[in-house]
Amino acid sequence: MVKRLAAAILAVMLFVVPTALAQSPLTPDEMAAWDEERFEQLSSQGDPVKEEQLVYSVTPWSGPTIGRGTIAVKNQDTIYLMANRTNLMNARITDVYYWPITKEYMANWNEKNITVEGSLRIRQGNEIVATLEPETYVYYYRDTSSGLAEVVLGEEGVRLYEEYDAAMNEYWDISRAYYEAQMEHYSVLDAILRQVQETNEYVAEDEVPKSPRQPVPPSGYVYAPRTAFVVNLPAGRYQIEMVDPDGEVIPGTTKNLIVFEPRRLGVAYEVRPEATWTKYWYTHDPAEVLYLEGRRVFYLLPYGTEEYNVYQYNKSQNLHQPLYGEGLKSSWGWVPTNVIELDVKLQVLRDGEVVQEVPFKPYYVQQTAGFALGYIIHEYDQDNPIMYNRSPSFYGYKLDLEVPSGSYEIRLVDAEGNVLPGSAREIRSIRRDPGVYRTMYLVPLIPFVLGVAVYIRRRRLRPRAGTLPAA
Amino acid sequence: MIRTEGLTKRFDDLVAVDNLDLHVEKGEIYGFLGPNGAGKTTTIMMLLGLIKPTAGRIWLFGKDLSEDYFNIKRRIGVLSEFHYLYEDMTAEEYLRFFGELYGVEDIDNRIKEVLGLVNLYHRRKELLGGYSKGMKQKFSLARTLLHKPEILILDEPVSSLDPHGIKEVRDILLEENRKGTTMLISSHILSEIERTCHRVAIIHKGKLVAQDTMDGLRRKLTEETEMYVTVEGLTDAIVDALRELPFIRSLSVDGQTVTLRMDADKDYRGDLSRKIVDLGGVVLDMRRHEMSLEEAFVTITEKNINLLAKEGSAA
Amino acid sequence: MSMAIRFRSARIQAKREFRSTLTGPGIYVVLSLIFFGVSLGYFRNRLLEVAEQGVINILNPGQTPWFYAIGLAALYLGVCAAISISRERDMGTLEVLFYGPVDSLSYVMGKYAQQMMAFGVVLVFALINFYVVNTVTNLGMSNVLGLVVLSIFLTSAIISFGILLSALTKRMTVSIILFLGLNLFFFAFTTAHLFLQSLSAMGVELSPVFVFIRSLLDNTNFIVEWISPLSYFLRGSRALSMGDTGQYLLSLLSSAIYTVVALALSVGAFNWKGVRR
Repeated sequence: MVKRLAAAILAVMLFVVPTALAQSPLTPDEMAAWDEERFEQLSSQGDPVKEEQLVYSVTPWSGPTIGRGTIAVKNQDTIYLMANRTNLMNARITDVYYWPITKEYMANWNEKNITVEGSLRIRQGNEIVATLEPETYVYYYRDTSSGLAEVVLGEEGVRLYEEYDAAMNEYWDISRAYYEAQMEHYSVLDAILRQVQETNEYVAEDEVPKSPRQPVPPSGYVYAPRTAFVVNLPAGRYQIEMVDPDGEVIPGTTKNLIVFEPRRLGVAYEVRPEATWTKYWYTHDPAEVLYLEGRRVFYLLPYGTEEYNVYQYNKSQNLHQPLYGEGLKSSWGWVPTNVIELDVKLQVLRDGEVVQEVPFKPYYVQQTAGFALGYIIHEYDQDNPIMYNRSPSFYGYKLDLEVPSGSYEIRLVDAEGNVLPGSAREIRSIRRDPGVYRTMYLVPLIPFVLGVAVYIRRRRLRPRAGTLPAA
Repeated sequence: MIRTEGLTKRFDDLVAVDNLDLHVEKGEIYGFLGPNGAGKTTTIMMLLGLIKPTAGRIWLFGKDLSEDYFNIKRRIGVLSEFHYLYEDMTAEEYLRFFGELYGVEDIDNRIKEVLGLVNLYHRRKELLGGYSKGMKQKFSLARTLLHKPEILILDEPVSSLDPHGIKEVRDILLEENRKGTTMLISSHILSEIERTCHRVAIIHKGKLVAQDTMDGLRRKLTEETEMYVTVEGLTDAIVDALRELPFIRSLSVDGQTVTLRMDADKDYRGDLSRKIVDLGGVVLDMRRHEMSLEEAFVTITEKNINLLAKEGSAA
Repeated sequence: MSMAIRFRSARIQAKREFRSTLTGPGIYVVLSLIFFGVSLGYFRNRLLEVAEQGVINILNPGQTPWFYAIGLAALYLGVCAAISISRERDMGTLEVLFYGPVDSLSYVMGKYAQQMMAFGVVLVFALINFYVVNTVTNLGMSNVLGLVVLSIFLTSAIISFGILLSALTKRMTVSIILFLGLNLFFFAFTTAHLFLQSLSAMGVELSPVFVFIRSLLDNTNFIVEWISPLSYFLRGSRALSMGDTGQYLLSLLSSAIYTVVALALSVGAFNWKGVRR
């Protein structure tokens, strides 16, 4: 039996391990060779070997942080992109080298960056899905402080850039005027100060001229327009290739393209308890329940998320790092995708009834000395002297809750009253008085007590020594 | 009721049962004899479908087991040598379970009947784990009889019983047989076979070496018989004359009684009487010692087996 | 006709064994130990955690302890199933059963039905225990019906797996070692797989050895997923927490197929091994 079992395990291992190895990115030998190569390169301190290659430079859509690119080098035959999103792509000729320290392919764009002219043809088998021409685009940062960008295509992008350019020029002009006014203001103040010193008479407050207001720069930022192929496809498997103006496929440009979509849409919350402002955490999954003890004040900072396969997502963002995402084919993760609009409200429900509606508001965190927490969180008011010339610390929903029993539900609704998918969460307050603990430990003993009773009853059926046959 | 044809079972190179033809008639008690490893249990297991034959066929109630597995099984009762019981059950629970399994009607009364038969009704509420070995054996018999089987297959039915228990079981079996139950009894207690069986089969090394009535088998197994003759006026001349007879193998004298070992192929009592009377003697008593099957069986040697096998094939 | 007889035979056998389970102390003691362990190891810790942090979030708070409790109870029943056939074969009671109107299919069905009936008892106690504990602590539990149905299918898969191993082995100890060993391996494998997947810190991400091990586990996982009964529950509970009815039903269906395949293999193994000691 043991021999048979051992044989079966051996058979499974002989099948499983080679299968797994065959799909693994690197064999142990390759890893050893890799490390050796790395060692040699580091010890020689020489430049890595560069090779001229035709590569695809890809700027995949990655939510509000778009702009980070990757490259698909010669030996990578598959590119991954998110479905129904604006992904940017170009075919270029450059020098590529492998940098063993960070284990990634790098392109020497500074020395060689030749755009391959032509169209990008997208096929599914023999069927041509699309033939793309390069389009103009800009990166548009609505608000530079947030670092969140969007891609705006075509004339709209150009217009945004021109508007931004004009606004910046205007800002520089206003700024110049401001600095001049400021200088003049200082000279007036100096004159008043001298007068006071000479006459020893104070000047009434309303006679002191007000300082000129500092101009505010445009809140956004727009990059200068550039061109790329805009790949926005539904999920599926495709093939891409560059074709020249004669319709001929440019050698070395054919690659597979996997376009993938999210498994779920959701809303994540950054949860910041008022009492532990610096210890915050996130809730991504609608199946997560928020637990409180007693009455608690906390802030929820929401943002849109989508759940993607981690392998595909990593490959889309980091194709130049071949190890990235390996071993994560069965893993799923939440990716931040969009900011929540200001007019979205948070509803608190009890037994399906809305009991409270919380607006999305800006808040300001005032650092304090001596106060127990070291800070006070205020609702933002730019006219409040504490917050004068300051921006809000954050935007969010303030909740002040206690759940005496059962649960509350929270969810986000937009201006039209639609519930944002994945925004619902359950909120509960725990109970933990001594009676609760007693019950918690005593209830599990019910089966045991019953078992003892059954056992004793059953034992009585055992014949006792010396039992006489009944008549 | 039970018939096999060319029944064969091989375990790798070992032939456990070799081309076995059995035929158990309705209402008879059939003894199944053979030394350990002869293939008796393998044969029984094949009859019950628990071991698949390598070759040959089996008919129970004239049907192949696979034709009507569940109904055939319901009509058979089996008592094995070892008494495997669910020891965490009471006797009553156990019988109720088997009663349901076999589809026994009026189960309460039937439990009362069979437990009454083996004198265990008063202990029906006790766990079987507490029963003695003998009680377990009797209880197993009760379980075997519970569904009123038409065929009883019994493997060493009295092996762990005291003489009283043996008699009790024997009486029960004979009573069941009187009611028409066919029985196949495999036992090493040959006296039991002899006392209860109508026909006996002897199996050796997987082969059926003999299948006959008790008398027939006894005859086949015994080449000589012993005769005690009490003679009034026994003289040396009479003794010498008897010794000279061709069918006499040896003799001894004790007072007026002569013990003769003689051929068993014929009845020589007439020849003996005539010779004694001719020489002036008066025959007061003449008794033949009937050799029990057990005595015969313990004398089974390779030679005897061969003899039986030869006779079997000649027949 | 013969299937009806088989079902009847299986039902009677299951009833007997179920009665035996109910009259023995094992199931009661095991359930108490499991529930007590969950109260001490899970509920108490969660309460302390909330008390310490003030506000925390817990993913699938009802599912996790339920999974532990039901998983352990199912393993216990699986061990019982794994023991049962080899014990009966070892004790000879199996042979006695087969003297009568019992065949391998009805026997395996009976064993399976009995363990499932025993699971009914587990469910009743589990529901009482979790209802009371979740109510008094207000930790709450959602998707109860979905979890109960999923648990039935998980247990079904575990039990059929136990029966298969039991049918394959002649000795009780081998059955137990094999059943617990394999399940422990599956559990350790799944835990290691999930743990390595959860590590994505930059430094760890870029270690080739780490990536190699993670890939090895990830690529092997697709095989383990189909063999390990626990994986079926994980898939189902994931679908349940995602509210994905299609995936949930698919996980139930795959558990059911797993059960049928394992039981069919058990019947085959049983016929191959025979009923004798």
